[in-house]
Amino acid sequence: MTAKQPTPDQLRTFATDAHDGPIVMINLLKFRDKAEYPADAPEHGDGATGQEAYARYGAGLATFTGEPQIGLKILYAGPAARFVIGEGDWDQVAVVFYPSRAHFVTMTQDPRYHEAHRHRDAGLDHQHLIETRPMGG
Amino acid sequence: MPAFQPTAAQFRAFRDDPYDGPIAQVNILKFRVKAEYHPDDPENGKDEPGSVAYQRYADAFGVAAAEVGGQCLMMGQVERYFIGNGDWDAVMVMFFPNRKAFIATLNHPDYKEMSRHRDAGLLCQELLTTRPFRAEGISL
Repeated sequence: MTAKQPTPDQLRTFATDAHDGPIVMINLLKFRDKAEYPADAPEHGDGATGQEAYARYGAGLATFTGEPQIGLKILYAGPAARFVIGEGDWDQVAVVFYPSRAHFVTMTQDPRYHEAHRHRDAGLDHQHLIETRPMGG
Repeated sequence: MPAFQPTAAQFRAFRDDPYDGPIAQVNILKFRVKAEYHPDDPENGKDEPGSVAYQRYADAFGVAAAEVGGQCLMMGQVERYFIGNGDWDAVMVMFFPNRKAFIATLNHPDYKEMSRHRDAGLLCQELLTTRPFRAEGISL
């Protein structure tokens, strides 16, 4: 079973966690081969790959997520080459810092997030998103 | 199938990849509940969690990696899956200027001494090699 969104339970648990410190979200991403935009989207039929559509999502987020109420910082991003231990099938990894979960939630409620998000919908097939708490150093 | 080491084929494929640029090794880790040292290890019987033993390895590995330009980009304790499902305890991302530097770290004279902490603390892991296009604090 692959997933693209949190379940209502996952959303609730994340949002109501009392931990108020920084979080780092580990994105393990699998793209569609070809982007799938809705028929009325201007990008429909532009031949973009899923990865290219997802990059538009990233570019859209980059225009506002550095603002202090969100404070997003990309710690790491890179395409996956291979598994050296274990097995899996991911195209890209992104490691993203937020000052707190409230900052993350603020981002998801921003109208600019929703504008960018359609590129994620078009490009992403499924993902894992793992919430971590950064350790010292 | 939980894995602890690369298979021979996985290691060969990694080593023989002609791409010579920077890599980041994404470690997705599951610790033993209790560290399991050998009977003759000084840490044996200390009743520590596996995460404590693994941290000794991670610290020493970071020192050895630094000799060849490697560094830890982040280590985080897994709180939960927000999308999808899985059962991992921690994620650690290590940067290396190229794959030779990673292999040199595995061949470091101290590796055998440090790896007993990995053996004691780690239950299984995934290790995903990636090619960084963005890394905090590093100009690529």
